[in-house]
Amino acid sequence: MYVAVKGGETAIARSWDLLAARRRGDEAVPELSLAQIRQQLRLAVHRVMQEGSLYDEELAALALKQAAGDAMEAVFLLRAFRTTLPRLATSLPLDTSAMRVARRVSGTFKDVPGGQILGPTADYTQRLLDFSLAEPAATPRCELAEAPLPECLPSVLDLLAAEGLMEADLPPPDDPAPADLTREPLLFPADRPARLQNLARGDEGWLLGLAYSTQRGYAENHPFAGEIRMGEISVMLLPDELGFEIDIGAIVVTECQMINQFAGGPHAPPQFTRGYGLVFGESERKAMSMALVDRSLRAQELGESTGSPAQQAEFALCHSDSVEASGFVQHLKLPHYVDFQAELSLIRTLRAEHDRQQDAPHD
Amino acid sequence: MMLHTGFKHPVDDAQRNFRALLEALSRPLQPRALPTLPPALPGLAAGTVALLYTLADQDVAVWLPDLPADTLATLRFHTGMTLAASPLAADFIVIPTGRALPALDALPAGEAEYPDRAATLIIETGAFHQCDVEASGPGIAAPLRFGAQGLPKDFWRQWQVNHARYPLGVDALLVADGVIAGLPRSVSVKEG
Amino acid sequence: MQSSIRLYEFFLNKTERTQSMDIPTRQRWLGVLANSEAAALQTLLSPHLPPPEHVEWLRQPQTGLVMVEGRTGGAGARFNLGEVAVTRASCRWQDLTGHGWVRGTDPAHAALIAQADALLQAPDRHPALMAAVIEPLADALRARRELASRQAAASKVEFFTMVRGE
Repeated sequence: MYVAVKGGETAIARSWDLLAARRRGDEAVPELSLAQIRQQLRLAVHRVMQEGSLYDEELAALALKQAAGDAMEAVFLLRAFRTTLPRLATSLPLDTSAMRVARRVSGTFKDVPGGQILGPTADYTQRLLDFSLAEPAATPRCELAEAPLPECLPSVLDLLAAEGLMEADLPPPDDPAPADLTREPLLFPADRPARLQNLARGDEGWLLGLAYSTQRGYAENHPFAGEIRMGEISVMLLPDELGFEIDIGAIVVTECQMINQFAGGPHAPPQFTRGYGLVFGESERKAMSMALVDRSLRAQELGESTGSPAQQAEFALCHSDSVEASGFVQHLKLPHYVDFQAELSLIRTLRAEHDRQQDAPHD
Repeated sequence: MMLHTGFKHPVDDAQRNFRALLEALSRPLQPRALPTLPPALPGLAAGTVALLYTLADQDVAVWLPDLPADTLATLRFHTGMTLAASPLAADFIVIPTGRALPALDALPAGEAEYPDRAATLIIETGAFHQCDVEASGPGIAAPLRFGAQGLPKDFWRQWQVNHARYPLGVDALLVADGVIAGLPRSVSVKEG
Repeated sequence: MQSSIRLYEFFLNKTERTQSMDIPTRQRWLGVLANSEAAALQTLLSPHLPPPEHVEWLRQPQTGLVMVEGRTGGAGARFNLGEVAVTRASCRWQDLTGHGWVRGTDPAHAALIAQADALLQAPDRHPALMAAVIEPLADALRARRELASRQAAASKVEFFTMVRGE
């Protein structure tokens, strides 16, 4: 029997007030502006845009402020907001070779054409807490090179491809439109474009863990970071009413091209294979994890063993979404009073039966 | 080529019309005026244009007969709809006044697993009256009489065949200028 | 088939319409406008805007989503990377139609671009607007990008080899 229970409206309203008050904190401390969040917590903003799968710094900063810095809650807010907006168009595919790079490194070749450009990275810091940041300070002046970088930096993997040692990755015939997980649910077997969309919006922690597992032996990946680049790319559209392509503004993305050894198989000679990562914003950790997991999910296609978690698409992809995962985990907080009463009565019956058997005299 | 203006307030106007449309389909063949009409387009009545602005977006394929380029461009401009190459590939099939109606039993009627994947016809007619059929079904309290000028002679016979396929079958919206009547597949009609 | 012919006719019509100002020129100004700061555009364009009653809005500013595609491996199969928030607007001024599309959620920015696009198509207004609005914005954009590029270039690694022994 189901019994509808009402109540709690007042308590809920009070909890909203408490949440808002806690968000604001002590009013003697100045309130955060969205511009401050965008500028000074930019990587948090990028993560929210990336997993919220909606690129807009202003909206992501607002979500972070509303969520009091809880990145997953902010992702949820952004995902919810996007459902209120109409889909106006699809961009032309991003041309990452035309990226205006702010950072570009290769772990495979020292002397890549165009050079190793470190950009704003924490890699070479000593991870010592910098107490001088506790006080306001002037912005350091950045040195300028005599000349800007070349407009177009060739991809490191092109060097290997030119030698025939890197597998080709070309558009399939007719260059079909990809599956869209925001329109159709993920079905298995999922093709690579559907997998990449899932990974691009997947939780960074989940992907990092899966990627790490492939390195610790739960897959045979042998990866090298062929190239990582981060910078601005113009988003291009072909609006129907214009009939020609236009640039509608730039976004920052991070791309990772992972190179993996491949011993060869029935359909291919020994060569290097690719794992690919592309994410909104500045996030090398996420782009690299994505590339590693992309490669491990290609195990079946390449005739490799598929026994490890990171090689099983259904496991890797169905649990990557933080909004889904946190919803299902957290729904346990909701009233399960009736379910639990049924469980309780079952356990009581079993226990009574158990106790009776214990008490029965043995013959 | 000339683009025409659409709804004055795209969101509010579409929502008001959508409400009217819901009511038209839940009270079949009981005509009601669309609350907000955009300017008509060459070859289409204002009511038809209002329905397309309300219902179509870039995920929707609409089949339209040959119409002036301005009309097609304006519809695509305001809705992002795709133009279906044939009625068989369409979510909505628009039949303006005086254009031939395809045979109803040849149109997408949905599948047993997805009856919602059926086409919806938007048919422009003359004035509504009460002379052609007696209709009954969900949303019709007592059998009611209905008719519309300009429908092909065998339309209601075809409709009864369509109804017999329920839960499959096409749905229709009849448009008499700014007044619409809903005709979902659940409606059964008796001629005479 | 019939409909693909119709789509083809669309394109013919469009091409005719934009012949008054060649496509690369128009692409350039639309790109500069979309990459400009709304406040800077407002300042530069304001003196040139027609009175509001002379502008007919075909499409009021509207915010929505554009799905951004990438390619596997950078050049392979298309995949959906995620969406960007975009605002668009379209207006007509003296038979000229202007379209504005810009990343972000600022309706005023899209409306300014649409009006600038219409005005720039008028042969008598074009040279003055290019000089007063587009070129200054293009210069600022070029300077911003060059600064970023020279900062990045300054962090380029210069390898050198240590020679040991002799």
